[in-house]
Amino acid sequence: MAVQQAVVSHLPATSVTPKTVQYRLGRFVLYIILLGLSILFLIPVYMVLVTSFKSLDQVSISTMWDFPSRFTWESIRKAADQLAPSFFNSVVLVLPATIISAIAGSLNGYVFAKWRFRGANLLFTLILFGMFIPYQAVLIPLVKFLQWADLYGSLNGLILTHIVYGLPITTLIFRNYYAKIPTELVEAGLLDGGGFFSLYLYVILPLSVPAFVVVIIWQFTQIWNEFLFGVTITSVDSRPMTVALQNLSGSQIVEWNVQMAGAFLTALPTLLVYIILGRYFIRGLLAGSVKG
Amino acid sequence: MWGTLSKPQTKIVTSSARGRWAVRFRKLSNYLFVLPMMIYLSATMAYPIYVNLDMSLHDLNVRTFRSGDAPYIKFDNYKKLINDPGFRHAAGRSLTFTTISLGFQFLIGFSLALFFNRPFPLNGLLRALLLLAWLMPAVVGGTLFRWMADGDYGVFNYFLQSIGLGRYKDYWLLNPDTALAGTIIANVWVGAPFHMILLYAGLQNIPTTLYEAASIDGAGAIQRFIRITLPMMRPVMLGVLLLGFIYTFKVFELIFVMTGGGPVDATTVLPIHIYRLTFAFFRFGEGAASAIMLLLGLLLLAIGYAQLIHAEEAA
Repeated sequence: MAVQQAVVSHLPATSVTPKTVQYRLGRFVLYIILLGLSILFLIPVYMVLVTSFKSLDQVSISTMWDFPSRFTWESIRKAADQLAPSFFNSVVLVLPATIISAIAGSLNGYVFAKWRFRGANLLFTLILFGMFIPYQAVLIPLVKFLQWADLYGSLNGLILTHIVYGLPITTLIFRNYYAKIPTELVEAGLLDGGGFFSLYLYVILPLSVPAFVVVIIWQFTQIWNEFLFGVTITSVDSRPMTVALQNLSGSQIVEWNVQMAGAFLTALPTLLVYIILGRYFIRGLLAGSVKG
Repeated sequence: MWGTLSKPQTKIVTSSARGRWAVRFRKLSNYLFVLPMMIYLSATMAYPIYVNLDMSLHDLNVRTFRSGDAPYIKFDNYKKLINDPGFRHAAGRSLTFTTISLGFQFLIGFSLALFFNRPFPLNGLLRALLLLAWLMPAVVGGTLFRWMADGDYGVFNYFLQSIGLGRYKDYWLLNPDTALAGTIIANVWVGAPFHMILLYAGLQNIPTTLYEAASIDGAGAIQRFIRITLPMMRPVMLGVLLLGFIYTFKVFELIFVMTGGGPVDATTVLPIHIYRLTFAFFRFGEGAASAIMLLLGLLLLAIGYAQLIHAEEAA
């Protein structure tokens, strides 16, 4: 293989014809275009950041690209004042919902990967279809159920909902992860007299840390970002941050600087998680979609 | 990466003399362990869908919803919907929104994936930055594009003005002719990085030796792309397209935040229409029926997707 590579890397050097020059030029132009495209994609992110640190009088069409002439926390503070209660709601929502859906998904994955039973594949497929349910199809029954359980309009209702609809993806990730743990380990544990839960606790769980990291990050960002459940089954006092952002409004004119500051603040927790633990995030993304 | 739907490990077997009883007991106990989960899942996932299905077969409106004596009307809600211009309009909008979005997302995503498949300085950083668009809350993306398409302060207008086309300035999201295009652009911005990441992972899995061998045999870049990249990427591309179709068809929040379905229904895609039928017009029966239709359509695609992955794993 090393030889092959050596041969390949020598090929262009030995044959610089006008054709290869033309080819390289085309390549170069193509890369410039694609580089431009990627930068184009980043412009909106730049705009949010820049505008968040401007005051309203600096937000004009002629200076929108510019760095703030006067760097100010005014917009951020204004948005933060309005969003603070819902920020705490989102924190109270996202922590238990993430942790419980991760633990439940881990138990599910354990059963599906190591305790085979008749109909397991069918049941597993059905759970996976849960990922594709348009939530509109369950909203009214959900509202009715939460009313019946006296959870409608409360954060607990929203937490419960997120746990349930987080299960398909968490189950999927854990099951695929556990499928790779040698079954001999479980068998050995069985021979030593371990049962369902002791095997989970002493054999499976200690090996699960990487999967937990992926699942927790994934669930955290998904639940933090979610809007439809948030807007439907909460009241003003319990609404999450994404819903509050949508309702963030100034007086007569739209204060875009405050809007952008609010958008920035709402996205910030997700962004921080991604910046710190990005590669685990991408692993979750791939695990939940296409065989990578 | 971990395979989706990978084949399960072999069963736990014991073959000692007492083993058979133990196995039988264990089989029984397996069900006991699984039983709570099944009850839980059917209660939380299957039951709401069943209730929704039931609602779709009743004449549910504001009055009967309260009183609880809605008459059973079989498939009348479905029939009504199929002949309802509003529903048809929404279905059409959804198809337009989804196919155009998906087309651009895929093309841009694939181009970027090919681009990033080459090593160059800051490759990883740029790739990571691009994913920001996808992982922001949809509400943030929506707010952002609402501003960019704004008539007085928007970037689009600024851009037009700066290239001397100021007379074409518009309130893009308030104009029924351009609002859908605005939401599509926003959605492409959100979705293309997602396609890029999945396709990039696929590209990374193609053995480089294939390309090396082809180069030695004298294949050019275009030939290598057509003869190696495309065939090797076929399953991934199909998967991404199917998944992308399902996800794009479900897009709600982005449009809800940008236009709320307006102006004059110009951006009322099916998920928005269902939401409005139920929560704005209180036509609960029809809302439920249209949700069931959406669900069935997407499930068919999801089954196709599951089949695809199974086939790929069998290969």
